[in-house]
Amino acid sequence: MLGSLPPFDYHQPSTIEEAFDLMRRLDGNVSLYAGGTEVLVALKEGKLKPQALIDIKRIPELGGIQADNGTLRLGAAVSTRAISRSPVVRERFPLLSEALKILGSMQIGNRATLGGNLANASPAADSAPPLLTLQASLRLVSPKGERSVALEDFFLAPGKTVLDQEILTEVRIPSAPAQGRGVFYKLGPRGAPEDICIVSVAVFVTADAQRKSWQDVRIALGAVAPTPVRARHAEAALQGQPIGDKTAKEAARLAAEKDANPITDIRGSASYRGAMVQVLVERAVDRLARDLRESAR
Amino acid sequence: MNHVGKIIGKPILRKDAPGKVAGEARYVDDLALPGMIYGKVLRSPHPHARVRSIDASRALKHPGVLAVLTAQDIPGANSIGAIIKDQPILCGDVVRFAGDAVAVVAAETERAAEEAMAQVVVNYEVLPAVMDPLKAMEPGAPSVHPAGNIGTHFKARRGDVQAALRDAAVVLERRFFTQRIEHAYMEPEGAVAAVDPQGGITIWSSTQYPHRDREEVSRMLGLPQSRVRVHQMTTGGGFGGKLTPHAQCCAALIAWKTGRPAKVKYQRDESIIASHKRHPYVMDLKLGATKEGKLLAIEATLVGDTGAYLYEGRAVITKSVTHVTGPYYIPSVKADGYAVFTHTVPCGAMRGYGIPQIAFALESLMDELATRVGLDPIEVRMRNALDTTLPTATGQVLHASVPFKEMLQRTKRAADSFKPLLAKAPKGKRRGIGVGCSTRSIGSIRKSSRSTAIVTLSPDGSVTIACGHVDLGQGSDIMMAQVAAEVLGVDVDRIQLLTNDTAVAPDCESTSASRVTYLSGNAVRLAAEKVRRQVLELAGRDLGCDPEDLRLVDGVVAYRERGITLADLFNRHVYHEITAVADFMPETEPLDPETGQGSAAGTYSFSTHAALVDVDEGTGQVQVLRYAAVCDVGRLINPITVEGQVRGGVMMGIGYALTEEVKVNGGVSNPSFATYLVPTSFDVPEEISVEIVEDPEPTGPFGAKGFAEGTLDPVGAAVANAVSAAIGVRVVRLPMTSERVHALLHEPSS
Amino acid sequence: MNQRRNVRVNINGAVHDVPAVTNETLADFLRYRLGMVGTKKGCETGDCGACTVIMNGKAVNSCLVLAVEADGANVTTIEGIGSAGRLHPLQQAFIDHGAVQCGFCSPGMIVAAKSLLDDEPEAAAEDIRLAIAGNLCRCADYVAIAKAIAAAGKVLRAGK
Repeated sequence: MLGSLPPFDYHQPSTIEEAFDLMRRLDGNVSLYAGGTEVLVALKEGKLKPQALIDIKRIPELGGIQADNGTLRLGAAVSTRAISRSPVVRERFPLLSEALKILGSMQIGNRATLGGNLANASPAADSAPPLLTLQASLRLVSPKGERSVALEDFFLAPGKTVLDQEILTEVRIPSAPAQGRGVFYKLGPRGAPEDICIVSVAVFVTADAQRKSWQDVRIALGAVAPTPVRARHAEAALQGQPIGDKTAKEAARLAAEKDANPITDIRGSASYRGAMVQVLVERAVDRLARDLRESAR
Repeated sequence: MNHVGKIIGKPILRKDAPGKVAGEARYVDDLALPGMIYGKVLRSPHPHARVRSIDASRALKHPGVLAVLTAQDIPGANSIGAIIKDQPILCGDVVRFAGDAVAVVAAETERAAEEAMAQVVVNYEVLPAVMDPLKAMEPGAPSVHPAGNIGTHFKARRGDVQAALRDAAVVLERRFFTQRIEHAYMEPEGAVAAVDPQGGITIWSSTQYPHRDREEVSRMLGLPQSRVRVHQMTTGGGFGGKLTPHAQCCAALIAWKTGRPAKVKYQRDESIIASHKRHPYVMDLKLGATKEGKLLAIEATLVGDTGAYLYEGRAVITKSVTHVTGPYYIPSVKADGYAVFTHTVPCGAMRGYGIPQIAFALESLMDELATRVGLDPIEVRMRNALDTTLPTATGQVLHASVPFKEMLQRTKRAADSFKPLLAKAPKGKRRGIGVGCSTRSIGSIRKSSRSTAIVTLSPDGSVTIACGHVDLGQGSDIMMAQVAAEVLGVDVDRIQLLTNDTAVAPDCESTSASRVTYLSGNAVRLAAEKVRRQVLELAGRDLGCDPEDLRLVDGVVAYRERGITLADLFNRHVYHEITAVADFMPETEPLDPETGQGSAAGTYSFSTHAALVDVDEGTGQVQVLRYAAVCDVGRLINPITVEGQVRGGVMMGIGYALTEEVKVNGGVSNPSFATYLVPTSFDVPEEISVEIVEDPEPTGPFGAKGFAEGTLDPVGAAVANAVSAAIGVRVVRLPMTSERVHALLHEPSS
Repeated sequence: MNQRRNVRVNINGAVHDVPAVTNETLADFLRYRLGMVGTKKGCETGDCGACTVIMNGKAVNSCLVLAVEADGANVTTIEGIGSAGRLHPLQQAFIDHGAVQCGFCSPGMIVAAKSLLDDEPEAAAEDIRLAIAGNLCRCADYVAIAKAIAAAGKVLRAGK
């Protein structure tokens, strides 16, 4: 049941060292806090009872959107709406911009951070499928040092990630092929951006110079497995194949049958989710094929 | 009257709006009294259990806690309910749904009350529960109440249905299902209560019926009603959901027991878990017709799940049965409605009150009939349409204001205007048009309904109206002001409504049942006319002329070129002001308990709607593209408020049609706006066109009658018919979620 | 635990320096500490938008912001947009378009719309639809609300 916020200490470290110091001092009985859109709801619902919140959004290295050497670096504490509206993201990664535009309402988007959306490890996280197809990696920092983890290796289970006394500071997206294109479909129970999706699909592709065959195909699925997943079987079916209707259908079937492993919950049954993976993957690949044909003219 | 039409029918802006858009209007949670404490309601987690004991000893030691109150602390009657008072305010022995209240904890802060609540130990003996109404009707099912699980059986009987069905060229038969839905008013329930020094109690509440709050609190405390005063605060929506003053009773009990002012407000999840819902129905309908599409007979069994309590279930099921023929004449009728108890959240009043369910079923079959006999859906409805000579399901002939055929023609034009768009469906979408029609009696169904108004004219020409129905935002205050302004020849800005205080406004029953315009509007009109008559008679005496030749305008009684101000007139006759009281109760005839025949209401309102939808072949998602509502208001008093009601009703109806469903798994399993899905800006059509038909109701104020629920009644039907037309498969279950429609699209053969 | 903190915040142009506790939302801080009750609470979970305020130029659900986070911030609430006696064009447009019924969603809806028009004075119908998607209304309809916002946008542009 919803209630008032329970008592907690609140810290707002200005450096990451300070944050680690607090985590150590409080013996891990803390929640990292940034946008608050998940944490505050969990606190009100009594699902989370930390001794303290450590608000990490003023730590400089968690902020900023920077493009250097082709790599895009997104601070983990930057709001999803700021990323969606950022000119560099819009220009170079329209797929990510479009997906984040419908991650939540305007008010949620202004607060929810990219790092939070990922670290929360919801199978339905809207930022995950596009970032998976963009081969994003994450910078995880601990007092001992830092490591880079591919997003694909980051999620372990619903609500579980590889984070181990670490802070996710940055999401890095390698430079995408200039002629690459992507599409993100989110099927929600309503038409609203704030809906938690029933199924989401991101597809990012490149074609050969003649735009006759698929060169690089990356497909990711949301809300149909314990974590957001790449649809490797579907990708393999398309790789190198001529751009045309039949392969899309076959790839979509493989995505549903081999890549997705959905469950039934309040938003949809496993069988509907499976069917929707097939529909949306096929639709996405067809749409990209059409776009490629049209831009070739 | 020589100024009729100056004010009636004009788009006059409502007076409450500036304060609301500026955040200055005061809702109950905006109120704080010195020394105020907070109450939280402890609710059962079990659908059915015996309360063996309640141990509050630890909770009482919690810092800031003042009291933990249980059934034993209630000095008067421990029962509540809009019509039938069968819900305990605090359950003493048995809980009947997960959410039933067992105790209320009072503390200095909300947080302390919540913490203490977690320390109250209730020892429950869990009992077997029955969650499905059809199972609850079977012998041997767990009993919700000692008298059995059938709370009501209401019947309508006319003619020989079996014979008519035997002879019918076309017989259609289907079972339909509708879901339990939540009002989802944006403001959750709440109340503040304070004991006054004279030993009475005052309540400030979010309510649709302050006098009901007064009645329930007085019963609970054993106080005379005159010692309980209720102020309705600006109320953030009701839709039938704020007719059971549970929060008010809890706040009053705390104030009474502790002597401190107390606030009780529900959290959103609590509101969805514990407040009453729209009844889910299982409906078996059988319709017989000639091959020309003329209806001969209807046989219907309606099972409404009333949940743990019946408080409005009997009336809701009665409304459905008495409206089983919809806006059509069907010679032979056999309908049985059952309100059935289950161990689920109780169901009660919600905008529509039993009509949206039956409209969905009947209108679906009307479309099937059209297909079967090869007629246009509008034409088959036209052939069976009620008019001023044909009786309703209860045998009542409406002698006036039955514009249904004209409305059908207008809806045909709207549907025709959608037709060119059918061919323009994008690839992968199936497009369909659907119509839905309904009618409803205005006011209560099982007994008559009365409103009372007190109109006072002051010497400066300003007017005060005391009339105890409340404005929930639908705009009744401005409509009442327009009615009085029209009669008394004053500007609406000089009229003040007093509706929200039981100490000054007479009981006008609840703001519900589309009854305010018709009943209270009439009471206001009659009282204003009495005042006017008295003024003109006084002036006629002074001016030596027939009162009939006088005019009352802007505080002056005028006779040809001469005039006398009200101030002078009142002064001369030693009147400080002139006050009149009037009430209005339409002529009705009670329904016969065996046949359901009788005259249920003073007037009926009709609705005819058309929808254009797209269905995504791949996902099953439904999008309403265009919507056209034709609305029957008798006489239009204020177009802005009427159109606002229509569009709002349609929007709510789209939620009923497509996404809304309260799911029960033990208790309510989707008690949040992230899981209970009301329409957003992305879920309504870009345009909802509204056409108003005026066919004055002779017994209404200036010909006006109620209509507001009718704006929602046929929406589920219209959208379902559009979806069925688009996919070629009959929809029999609401809501039409994308998953359900997807399943219909892929059904092997239907 | 539960630290007390002073929160110094500029609300609608006036600086308030007020003690708060850490487990206090900005919505509660505004409503119960400062008595600025125009900001409404409809759900406490960020799903209804009734508590929308503008913090440092961004529309947020104040039920999902801690009061202590507003320390040093600029906040605009419905009270800062206009008063009943001196309505902002957005507020006037809501009235004129029949976009107000029970009024509980109106303050949050208007603040969200204000934020949109501040950012995008030329906001098109689709932008409006997206900006108010997180503000639920149960009485009126989004069509009237969107029209009111579009009309106010026109008035505001003409006034510049």
